[in-house]
Amino acid sequence: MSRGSTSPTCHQAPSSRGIEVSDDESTIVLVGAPNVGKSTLFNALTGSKVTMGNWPGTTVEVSRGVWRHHTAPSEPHALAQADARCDCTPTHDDHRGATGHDRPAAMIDFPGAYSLDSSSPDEQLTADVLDDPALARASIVVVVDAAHLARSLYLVSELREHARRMVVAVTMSDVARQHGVDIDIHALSDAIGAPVVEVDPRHRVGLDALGEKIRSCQSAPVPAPRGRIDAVVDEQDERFAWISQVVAASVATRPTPGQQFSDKVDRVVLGRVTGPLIFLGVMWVVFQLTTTVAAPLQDLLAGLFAGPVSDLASWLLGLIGLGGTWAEGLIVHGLIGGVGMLLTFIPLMTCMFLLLALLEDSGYLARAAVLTDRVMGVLGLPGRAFLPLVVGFGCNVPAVAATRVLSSPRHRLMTVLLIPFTACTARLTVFVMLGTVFFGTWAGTAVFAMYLVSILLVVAGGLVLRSTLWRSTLAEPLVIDLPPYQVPTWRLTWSVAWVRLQGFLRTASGIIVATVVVVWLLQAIPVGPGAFGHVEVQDSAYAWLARVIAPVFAPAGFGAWQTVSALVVGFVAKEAIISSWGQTYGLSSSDGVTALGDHLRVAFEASSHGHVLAGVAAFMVFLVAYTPCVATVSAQVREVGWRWTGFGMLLQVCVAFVMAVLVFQVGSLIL
Amino acid sequence: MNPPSCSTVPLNRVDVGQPLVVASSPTDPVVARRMMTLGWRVGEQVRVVRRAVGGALVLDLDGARIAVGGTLARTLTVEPRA
Repeated sequence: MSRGSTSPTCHQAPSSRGIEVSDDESTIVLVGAPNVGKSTLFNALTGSKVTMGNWPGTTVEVSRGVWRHHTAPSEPHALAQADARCDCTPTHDDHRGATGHDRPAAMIDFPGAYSLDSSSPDEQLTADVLDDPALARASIVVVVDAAHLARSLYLVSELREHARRMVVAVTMSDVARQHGVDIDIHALSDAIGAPVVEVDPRHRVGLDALGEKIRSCQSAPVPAPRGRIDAVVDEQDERFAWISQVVAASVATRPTPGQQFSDKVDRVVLGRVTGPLIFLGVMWVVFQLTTTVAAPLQDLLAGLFAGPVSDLASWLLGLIGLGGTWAEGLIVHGLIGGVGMLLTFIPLMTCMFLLLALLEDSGYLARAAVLTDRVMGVLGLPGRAFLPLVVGFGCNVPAVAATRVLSSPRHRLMTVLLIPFTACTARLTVFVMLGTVFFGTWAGTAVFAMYLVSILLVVAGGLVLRSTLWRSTLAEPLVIDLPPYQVPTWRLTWSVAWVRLQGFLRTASGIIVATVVVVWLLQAIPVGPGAFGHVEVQDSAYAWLARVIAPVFAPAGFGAWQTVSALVVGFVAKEAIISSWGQTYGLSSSDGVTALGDHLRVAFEASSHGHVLAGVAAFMVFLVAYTPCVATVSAQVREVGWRWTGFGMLLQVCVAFVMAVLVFQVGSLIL
Repeated sequence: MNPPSCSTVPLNRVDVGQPLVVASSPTDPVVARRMMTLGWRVGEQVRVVRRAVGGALVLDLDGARIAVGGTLARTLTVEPRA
């Protein structure tokens, strides 16, 4: 994170993965149960200046932003006092806020937590906030849901047992009133023993009042804690009695007519017949939008970089005397090719992140989890895992990003490991070409068979993982809060999508560009005749490497270097396999599929010892199972880190190899 | 977990809309704590709002809607209110 752009204070504690904290009063920590509008409030207060990253030393992701609250110049200001203690000079950006009446404060949005009980990493992190020295002086804003006040107050009751500055923000008051629940804010404040403010972050109501309360709280003495400190939740818990007293003192209820709106909608959305149909329809729309709609934009960007941008770069390099040199190859085919490839994912990822945010914000995602819970339970996964796995059949990259809908890190990890086995559309293009060339009228069946193999691998992989690595995770039964349906707000949807897109680009950019450059380098280094940057493919280090690896694939029937080299390119992007074959065989675009097919037939004929169809089938199965592409790898690194990504890649290559050998050895007996 | 009395029934066996009182908590302490923070405590009022596909139940707990899986619902007991 750039301190100059977002950091308001000094004394920042280092972090391992992007999140930094300040150890003074200006920091504000946002906590609350899931679905109470906490992230909506965070987005309303901080706008788009948000950094996402893991909390140091954990796998839990938190968001960090800067909140600029308007203050009158004559008023005493706690943040000014905090700044005055800093021995470092505020940055240009900080000055811009500080010289007017807007005071910047770091705000950290922690994951939803019902209590400080350590049954989930998210809740453990919220509990740890209280002990973190870096946040010892931070103020805590607890967001509570007016419509379900008693449930929200458990976390408040625990936090009040600590000597911390705290402000309670009450959301969903409009929903509460519709349900016949009226809350006396002053009485609630008195009963809790902390300032309470009513806010509506979706319509930006009450934010100034919240700011005033936070500011007053920051300059006030730390309040005395309430009662004992004990993290155990049980039936006899005194906190429930305290909550009952608070509710009795501050809440008035009145009878309301009949069914809630969400109940009426759920009659259809969770219906035995209509529920699955609507779910499949929603999944179809997600699949279509992330592939069909985003694909033309992807092609447009790819064409732009392969054409005009590359031509312009070549022309400019020619002007400075670098035309036709290796430097031109590195810049045009390596760097611009890599950046171009990265940017082609922007439409796809934007589409996916927007859809995810819409599904989450509307309340539908929780219902989808209920509908698919039993099916996914067979694999030891919650219902929500269905979404990323379906998206994986379009493209694995947004599918990996879609695992964010899973709250449990273990479920997220397991799903991330299974997604590469879903056959994406990039692989489909290769299947269609090979099917057409080698299987003739049976091409459609061959392609369909690959999808069956893909589904089989996902199911088998899930069953193996649930019975080995994550045996203890599987017993987790479905217990999920169903938030009321609401119309998503454009501001929140875009804000969430934008933050996630930034995170993807930050992680993926280095990996994708570096990999494309490495492949270019391998193709530019001569092993035999030619000079660096001016070498035929068959004389390059790329071909040399493929020749070294090729014998390994002899038992699978595709041990020709030309075939194996395509697997190397296929690691960069499966779409590039066909064009790399064209390059390897010296074909032009006018030669067509028939000419390429003839070359491939010769290569498979030799490597499979006459069992061409068995060799091609084995190659196609290998394509289904091995690492999808470098963009997927970079997305996986972002979600689960290098260690598990490496484990996944090893798993995929091993499974792919074993399956390919089996298919060829059995197939060569028949075909 | 509290021992079920003769008037208690498993949650998955009750009628939709019938007023109920929670009679027992889940045996798994982690699930029990999670449900307690969501409002499932012995003596509290509850109502099954809907049966969803796959045996899941949508419950009304203090005005909030909570979905529980069919397997879990079989282990929870409630007492019908008169």
